[in-house]
Amino acid sequence: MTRPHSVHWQQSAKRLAAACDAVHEIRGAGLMFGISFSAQGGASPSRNPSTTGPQLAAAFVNAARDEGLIVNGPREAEVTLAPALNITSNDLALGFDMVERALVKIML
Amino acid sequence: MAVISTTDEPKEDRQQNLLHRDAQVLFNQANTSPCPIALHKGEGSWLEDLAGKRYMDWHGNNCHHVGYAHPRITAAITDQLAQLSFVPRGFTAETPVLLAEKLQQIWPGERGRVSLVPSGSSAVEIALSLARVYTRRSHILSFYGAYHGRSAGALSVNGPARGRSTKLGSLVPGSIFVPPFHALRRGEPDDEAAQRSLAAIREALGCCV
Repeated sequence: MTRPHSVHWQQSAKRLAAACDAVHEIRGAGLMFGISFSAQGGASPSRNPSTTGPQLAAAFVNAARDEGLIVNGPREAEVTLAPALNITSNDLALGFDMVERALVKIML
Repeated sequence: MAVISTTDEPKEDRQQNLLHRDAQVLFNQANTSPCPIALHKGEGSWLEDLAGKRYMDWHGNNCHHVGYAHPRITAAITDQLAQLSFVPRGFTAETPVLLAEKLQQIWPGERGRVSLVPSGSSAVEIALSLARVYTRRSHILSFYGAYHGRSAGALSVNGPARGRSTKLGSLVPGSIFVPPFHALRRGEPDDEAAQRSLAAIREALGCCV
């Protein structure tokens, strides 16, 4: 059941990368992904322009945890996301909702 | 065993008390202390902290591939502990043989034998020793940024500034560090990174690669 999950995962990751200015890049394989944050990617006018990639990554880790998602990092400007390989489709969707809400939070 | 927290304590207070006790008696965890929450239990993809809040685990230290409390794994461990919890040195039992046979079946490379060890660091230690014995060479090529573990041999091949303190002083000698074959900075083309890595390896070895 990993293959359909992987496709869903990759599509969701690409959508998030395109939608969030703070995300410089999302890369990975299978169900494992890394999010790279950058303050250079079209910073929101309301966001402190001095916010750096590592600060955004740290803020994302905290925001995700507040939402109920534990991720691995930050390591400099990057965060790793690696769910269990037998995660259910429902949980995968819930997880991406939390990723999205955490990204919105750090962009405010 | 003394249990300081009491069950009639508010859950959030219990969590904060445990975090305080953790800081008093346990070593800090590299890069992650102080701990933000104290975990209480896990099932499937979900964890629960001591205050009762649930979290989906997408961290997992890259090793919880089947989630928490998987019934088959729990049953297998419980059964094994009940039947035979330890095999003294010099003896064997069916379970490690079954595991080795299974690993042989799915291993895509040349048929070999299995050494079962309790951690990644231990596996790296044995691999380094085997490599030195087999090749009769003492130098190890390692990539900047590489992480191999926390034991002395593994630390010696961790990339500089990755998982080892400069205060450790001398470790196992013979490590040669080169840039990895993937991009080190954003936007760097992969082929340029590979060429840079190859050039560094060529220079380190003093020969054509």
